[in-house]
Formats: sequence, C-alpha cells, structure tokens
Amino acid sequence: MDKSKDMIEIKNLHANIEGKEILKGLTLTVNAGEVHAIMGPNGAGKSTLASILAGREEYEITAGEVSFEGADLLELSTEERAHLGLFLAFQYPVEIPGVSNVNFLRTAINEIREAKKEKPISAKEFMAMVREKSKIVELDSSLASRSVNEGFSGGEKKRNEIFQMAMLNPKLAVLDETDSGLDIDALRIVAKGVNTLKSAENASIVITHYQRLLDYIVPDFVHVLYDGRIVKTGSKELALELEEKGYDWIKEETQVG
Amino acid sequence: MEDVLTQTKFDLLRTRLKGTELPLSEAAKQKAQSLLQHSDFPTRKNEAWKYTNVNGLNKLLLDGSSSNASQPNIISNGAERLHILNGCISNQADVPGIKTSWSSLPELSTEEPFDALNMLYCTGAIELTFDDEKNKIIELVFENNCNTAISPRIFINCKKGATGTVILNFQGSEKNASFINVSTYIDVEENANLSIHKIQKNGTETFDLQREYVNQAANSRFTINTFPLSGKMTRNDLVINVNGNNCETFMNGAYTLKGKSHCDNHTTVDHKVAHCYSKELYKGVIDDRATNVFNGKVFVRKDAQKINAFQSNANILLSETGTVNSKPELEIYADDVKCSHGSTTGQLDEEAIFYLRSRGLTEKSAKELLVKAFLGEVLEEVDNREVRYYVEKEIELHFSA
Repeated sequence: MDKSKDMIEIKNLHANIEGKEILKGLTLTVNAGEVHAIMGPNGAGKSTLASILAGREEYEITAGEVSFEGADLLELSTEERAHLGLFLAFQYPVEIPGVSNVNFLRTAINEIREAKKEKPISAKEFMAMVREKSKIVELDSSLASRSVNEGFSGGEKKRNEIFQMAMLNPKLAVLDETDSGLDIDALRIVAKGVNTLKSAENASIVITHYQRLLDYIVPDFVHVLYDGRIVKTGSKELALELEEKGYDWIKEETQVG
Repeated sequence: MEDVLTQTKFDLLRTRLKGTELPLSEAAKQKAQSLLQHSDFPTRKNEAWKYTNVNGLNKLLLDGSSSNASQPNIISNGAERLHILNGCISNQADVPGIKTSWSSLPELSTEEPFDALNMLYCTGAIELTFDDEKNKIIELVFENNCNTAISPRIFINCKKGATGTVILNFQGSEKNASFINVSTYIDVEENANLSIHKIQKNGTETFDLQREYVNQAANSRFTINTFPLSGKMTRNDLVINVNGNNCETFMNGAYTLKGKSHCDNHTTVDHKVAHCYSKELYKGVIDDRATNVFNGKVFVRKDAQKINAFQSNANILLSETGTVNSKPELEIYADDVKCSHGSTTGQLDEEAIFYLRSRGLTEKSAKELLVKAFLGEVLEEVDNREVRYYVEKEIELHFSA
C-alpha cells in the first residue's frame, strides 16, 4: 500500500479512564478515500476511541501512538487536531444557548484559517457557503441562525453535525453513533450528506452499533471492536453477518483464540 | 488622645474631603451633619453590608495626583451631553432640561450616611428634566483621571407622559484611585417612561458607591441597566418604590469582574400597590480573586394584589478563587400574586467548551463565546443600540486584556 496515502495510523493504543482499561492495544490504519466502519457490542470501547481521537482529556493513554498525516496526534490539543482537519460528529451534540450556529461556525472557520495562515472568510463567501451546505443535509436555513442545537430534535442535531462537517470540510471525519436516535428519514438524509462529502482526499470512520446505517453509507472496511481491540476485519458483508448473528460468536471466537 | 479614640471612620474620611461649594440651607446642613455624627462605616454586623467592607476608603490617598490623561469615550452620538471631569462640570452650556446651578440644594430625604456625605461634600449637582415624548437622550460623562473624591448629586425628573433616556457613563483612567460617591434621585411621574443606563468603567483602584432612589407613579415604566465593568470596589444601592398602579419596572445588570475587584449590587423593589409588573435580571462573570455580591429584595405589600414580580441572578465563576454571595429575597404580604426568584452560580459548561474546541476554536475563544452568550441575555434587554454596542465592546476588551 502506498504509504503517502496514510491518513491516520493508530498503533497498539491502550487507554484508561478512572483506572479502568478500556482500549487494550487497538491498531487501525485509514487511508484517504476510504470509509471504515467500526462496530461492536456495548462497552467495547467504540466511543472511547472517538473521544481519544478528538482529544478528550479524561482518558489516560498508557501505550501506543496515533499519527495523523504524519503528526503525533496525541500531543496535540483538541483545537489543533481540528485545525489539521479532524472532525468528530458527536453522539450527543451539545446544546449551547445564546451562541448562534452561524456565528460559532464563522469563528471556527476563521480560527482554522488563521492556524493555516490563511485570510479570514468574507461575510458574503460565508453566507453563500451556509446556503450551499445546509442544502446537503436539508437543514432549514432558520436552524443555521438559531442557537447551537438548542431545542433541536434528535434528527436536527445530527443533521447539524453533518452540516458543520460540510462547512469545515475535514480530512478525517469520525462519526460517533451518528445513527443513534434517528428515524429512517433522518438516517437517509444524514447518510446522503456523508456520501456527498466523500472524496478521494478525505476519509471517515463510522462508529455504529447497528448495521442499518451501513445500508446507506457503504464502508470499504468493517472492523469489529471487542474488549478494547479490533478482533476482526472484513468487507461490508461482515456487517450483514453481525446483524444476522449478533456479537456472541465474535466473543466466543475471541476467547477461543 | 480622647479625641482620637472617639473619632469615627467617617470623621477620618471627612478630614480629607473638601466641603461643598454649593448652596445648602442651614437646616439641610445640620440634618446631614447630625446623621454623619451619629454614624460610622458599616460593619459585617450590618446585614446590608455583610459582605462588603469599605474600610479601604480611608487608605485612598485622594491627593489629586493624576494618572494618565485619557480621551473620554462617548457612548451616544445623538445625546445632549454634559462632561464632568474629576467632579467638575466642564461645559456649563445652557441646555434645556439640564440644570447645574442652584440657589439651594433640596434637603436630605434619606437616613443613609453616605447620602449625607454626598450632600456635604457635593462636587456638582445636576438636575435632568424630561417633559415631552421625544425620548431625548442625555449622557453624563464622568471622567476621572485624578485620584480625588467626587460626589455628584443627580436629580432626574421624567414628567407626566414624558419619555427620556439617561446614560450615566463613568470612566476612570486605568489605575485611577478615586472615591466616587453618587446619590441619584429619580421621579417617574404618571404615564412617563424613563430608561437609565449606568456604565461603571472605573480605574482599577477606584471605590464607587452609588445609590439610586426611585419613585414611580401610576402607569409609568422605568428601566435601569447597570454595568459595573471595572473598579476596586463598586457598590450600587437601588431602591425603587412603586407607588402607583399599572407600573412596569425593569432592572438589568451585567458585570465582569477580575483581579481583586469587589462588586455589590443591592436592589429593592417595593410594590406598594396592585397590578404592577417587575422583572430583574443580573448576570455576571467572576475571574481571578474577584468577589460579587448580589442582594435583591422584592416587597409585595398587603394591598398589592395581582403583582407579577420576577427576579434572577446568575453567576459564572471563571476561576477557583472567585467568590459569589447571592441572596434573592421575597417578602410577600398579599395573597394573589405571582412572584419568582432564583440564583445560580456555576462554571462554564466543560462539555460545551470541548464541543467548540473540537470545531477549531481555541480554549480562550470558546470561553469568550460562552461568556458573551451568557451575558447576551442581559444585553438583549438593552433597547439603546449605542449602549449595547459599547458594553459589548467593553466585554470583548475585558477578555483580550
């Protein structure tokens, strides 16, 4: 495989929270242009992985390394990771009363641009972008000017995550259980948004408990995360097998192995 | 020796103040003097001053030495303006509705020693009168760049059916160490509508003690927005007597405290009669070793039925060493009223900070955005756009400094 295409390389990652080991040697490489799905039973460490990649400080990394486009990701602050093009779609997007969606996004875009020593975005350019990108997730333009996620329905919150992703145009998007709490229509819209944003230059890691989302976002690889490690990797058919048989056979296989 | 021992803190302070040059009747003078002779600085035993200590007043040099000269910031372009530099009214221009020369100051009508002190050492008395519906804006710019004591005495009359706006723009040069002692008497007559915006952007060593005594007549509307932005010690005593039916009363406050500054807002709304509405919202952020005190009292008297009175105080501590003492009080003697009060003190939402940072905002700008949003609820209540803009800018400066 062409080394230059490596977007993120996670090697033997071990992490604790409050003394409890959650990740126990996780290894994963994602290249530009790829979609990776991470599935696994509750408590396997799926959300922990997302949190650590985004830079949540509650976790203690005890071993391993993560390289993101050649940079030592674990040494960077949350915002520095965002500046390099990492994006986390939250499982539970935060409501922020009094901060308007557009105001916050414009600040975010400009801080990312400043970090890259680029000129700030003009008001006109920004508004045109808001109009264009909100269409991708069929987000009503009035939601764009409201307070961040405040009073949004579950579906609106998740669409707002994808809208922000569209606005920030990240290299690597980590979608943490974006399908949770979504009805089938919202799921379709969110998936369509993710698919529209897919390119040869970016990549995504889709974390999900259910196969359902993968009917809409077709992954190149499916990984099974169990007990803090990737225990199985396959094609999209693996997801269907998991849907049919559940996770017990994986658990057994792992214990036998 | 005996004399020294019996000398009160007021006596000590008075030796360093210059008696007023304004005409005072003998009776007025005696009343004020007698009140002061029988008082001393409030102590912790005095409930209204439990968390605020003014002993530092006697440590102020008040020697007239000047700190850096500054260019005063004007808030409202369209306003009639009076400039008061270190207590002296600079432009005595003959503006209708603004009176600065007196044949005799009215007698003291309170029992408050600092009010008596204000009268006896008054550095300038100003009377503002609004008598039509044009919503004239008058801005009083109090600029302090000398370390001195100033005691402005202000009378504001909003006549029957009139509408008016007053901007009290206090600003001190950066390290200014003044003693500001203000008494303001406000009369809102029937069907009148008066708005006051008070900005206290004092020098970091300044003591600023202010009192507003408000009387509202029937069908009137009164709004006061208070912005203590800086200063070593700021104390505001706001007393509103709602004397007539169908009144509306709005009190808003936003404060940004840092360093070792101390801010104390005491408010009292006294609903004496029925069918009135009052709403109070004070919010602030406290950083470093700063302290905020809030005490809001709402009285609903026996005959004051159908009162709607709401009060809220919310604080955000930005440091582990900041202090908040908040005490909302309701005293209700009527039985058909709707009242609420509440007080919260907390920290910025860590989850929100993380969310914003994950989108590329630095920790500093994430916090700033959240603080602005928090105080924004108060600023939304400010109908004068120039005032709102000015305060927003000041809040931004507060964070960039």
